[in-house]
Amino acid sequence: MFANRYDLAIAPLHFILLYFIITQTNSNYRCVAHGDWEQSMIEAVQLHKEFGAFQAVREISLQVAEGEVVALLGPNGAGKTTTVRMLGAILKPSSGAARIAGYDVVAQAREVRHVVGLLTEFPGLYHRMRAMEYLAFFGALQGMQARACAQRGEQLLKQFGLWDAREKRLDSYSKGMKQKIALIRALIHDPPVLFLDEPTTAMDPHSARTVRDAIAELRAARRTILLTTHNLVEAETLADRIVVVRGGQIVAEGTRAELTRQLLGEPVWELRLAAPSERAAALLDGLAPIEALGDDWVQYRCIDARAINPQLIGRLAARGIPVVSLAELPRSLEDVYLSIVADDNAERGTWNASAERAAALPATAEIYLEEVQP
Amino acid sequence: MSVSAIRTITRREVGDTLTDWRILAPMFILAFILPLLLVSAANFAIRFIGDDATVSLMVPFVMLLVGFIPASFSLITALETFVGERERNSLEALLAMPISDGALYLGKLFSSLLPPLISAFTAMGVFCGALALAYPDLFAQGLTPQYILVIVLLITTKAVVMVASAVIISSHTTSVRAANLLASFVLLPTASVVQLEAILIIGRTARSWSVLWIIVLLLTVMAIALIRTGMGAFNREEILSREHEQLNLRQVGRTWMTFFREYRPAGVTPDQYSHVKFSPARFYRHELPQLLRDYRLPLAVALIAALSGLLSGGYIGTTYHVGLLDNYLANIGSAPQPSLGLGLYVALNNIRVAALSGVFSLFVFGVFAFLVPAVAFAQVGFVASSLARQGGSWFTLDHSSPLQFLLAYVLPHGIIELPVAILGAAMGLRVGAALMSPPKGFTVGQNILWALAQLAKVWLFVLVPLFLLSGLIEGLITPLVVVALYS
Repeated sequence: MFANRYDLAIAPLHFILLYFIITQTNSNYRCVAHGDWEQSMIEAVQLHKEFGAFQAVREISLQVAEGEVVALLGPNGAGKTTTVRMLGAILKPSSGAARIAGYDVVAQAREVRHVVGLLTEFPGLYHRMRAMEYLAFFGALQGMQARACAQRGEQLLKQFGLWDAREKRLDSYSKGMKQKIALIRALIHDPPVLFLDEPTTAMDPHSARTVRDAIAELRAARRTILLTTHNLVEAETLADRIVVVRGGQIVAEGTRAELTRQLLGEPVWELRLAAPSERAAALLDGLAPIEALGDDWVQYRCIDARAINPQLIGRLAARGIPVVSLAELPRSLEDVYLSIVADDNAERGTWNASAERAAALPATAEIYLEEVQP
Repeated sequence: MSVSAIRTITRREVGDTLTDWRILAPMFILAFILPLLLVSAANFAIRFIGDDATVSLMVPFVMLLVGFIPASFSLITALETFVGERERNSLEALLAMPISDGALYLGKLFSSLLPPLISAFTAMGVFCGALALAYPDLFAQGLTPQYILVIVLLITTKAVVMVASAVIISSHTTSVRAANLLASFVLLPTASVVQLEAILIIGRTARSWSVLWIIVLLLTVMAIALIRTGMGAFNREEILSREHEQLNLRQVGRTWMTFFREYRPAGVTPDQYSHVKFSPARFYRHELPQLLRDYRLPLAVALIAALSGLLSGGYIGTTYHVGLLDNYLANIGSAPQPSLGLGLYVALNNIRVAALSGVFSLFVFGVFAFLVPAVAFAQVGFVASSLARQGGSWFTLDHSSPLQFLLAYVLPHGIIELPVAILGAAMGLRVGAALMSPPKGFTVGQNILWALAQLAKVWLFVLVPLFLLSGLIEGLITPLVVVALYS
């Protein structure tokens, strides 16, 4: 087997080399398992959670790709926090399955907790500690070396403007500062997946801006973020996709534009004239359905604005009808959200009633909206 | 389980405790000021009592007190561990860390235990040192190395028992207030143990020190059982899921009835039951054999208890002369008149003992249930071996023969009664073990309800009829057999 003594001498080195290759391959594999999970970093299938007779989450299925920011919107008690806790491997699902960065939330709960950074709904700090001690504690629990943790902590404290307050005890921090340090805690081990529950709650506008900028940076760094929020502007500006949850179920899902179209219909255009609107209305016949008609204005739904609007302008010009303005009516995410959950508070008499009602909900929000809209 | 995670949690919590002057100040006072005050009071005690020897009897007790008071502080920190964090909303972040439930539990346990225990040891050290310096004779008379060791162990084991119980309470309540209310279940028995220890220490006989060692042993067993219970019952999911301190008796009743109506192995949750009605035929034909198979371990333990009792009774009967039982041994050969009343009395007594030992086992980890067959068999072993010690032969049938005693007094009804007692003990043992480690799929509450439902079912449909039968035999037939063999 060994040709000469030299071969014999270096044989152990081969084994050592082989060992390093194997271990390195394994560690690379781990990184790849985290980093190359491009299909979906968060994947939930029919996730269901019951507390006794109460169904908190009902068969939620969700996929979030690497680098994607998804906002989970919904009224209080909709099941957002329970969903996040299941995905964070803190609660076990009653049924269904979920994988985070390829790790199963039940069978590989510890791995999941390692790749997830969780910002909880309340900062919940250890008030007697100082910022660096606090971060060192959570860093150590995440298995970080003290030095690496200190460097990362310093970087994050500086980024979030808390470096000067690092020697103060956390109980002396303002609400916004507490929220920031809680966010830093979630980021300390540089996780590929982040669950942020109300990240800008209680922050002043400047701090909120800092946090939003940080989220945008994380997104640019291909971090996968599940954002639970009531702040529609935040969801609109930060999220690539929005998932609306109600009664423990997903009732709507998509980009803002998709949701708007799905739930509020095609865009509505408003034409203002320096003439009675009846003349223009006649011109729209066969071109676009009229939504509303005023003395000198007309609103119509336009499926294909690029095709319809030039034609309409041409017809108006040909008839000599003076146009004041033509614009698409703005429809905010708030309109979309309220259209889904507006009646929720009115019906929140008891959880049972809500749960029964949710049980009767059809699968898609579209059908649901048809049901509840007068 | 990660040792470094346990160390990290412990270090943080101990650091938190030791930077809180509200905890630190009393600990300092109890560790340094109280022992010195008590030592300085020794002079007054000597003058007041006028007898060094009497005062020296008090010294070990005072040392116990000096150690116990700071150690009892562990209750405050331990009760706060989980529920306090939950109230301050800091628990969820901790539960989201990649550490095992066991590491989390042990980290909290050690962190609750260390500061009060260090304080207690310091207090006892200060007391011993100050006493040795100020009153060397009193120290030499009052404290031997053996006394010091047993007292230190008593304090340590009691602290572990208190902390382990308090951590269990803390992880199963939703508010510090509720945890404090439940703390009386820890404090009252502990205070009773301290009182017993005080009597034994002041009594200071050779036997009382042996009893103190037995208390150390029992406290150690209890501490291990409680830590095991705490680790088995600790579940981060349950801590976060528990929202209200609400006792839903209807739900409890429904769950119990589900477990009662139909037999499924432990761990099968109520929603997996088919909710069929209870059927005695199904119970006797299918469920009882299955239940007995599933109860193999408790049955084996109960059998070991019975055999241990038999051997212990035999050993005592062979080795010692128990004067109190002379009268009983002298009456061997006589029997009461056969009567239905006697049979019913015996049967009802057995039924009552089986029910009470089973239910109370819940609170003492099955010890009562364990004792019933042990004591019953010990009596048999004692009488038989006492007869043998008095010259009776195992191979002949005569008035002093242990064999004749067994055939006349034990066999007619014992052939039914003793196995039934073992079964009853096994049921009770399972109830006692219900708190310690719920099987996968069950909560602690479900496990207790399941064990109690099986106990009730077996008690009602097996133990009661068989105890009635054995009682009737004992009341109506055994006296006839005794008369026939001994006349």
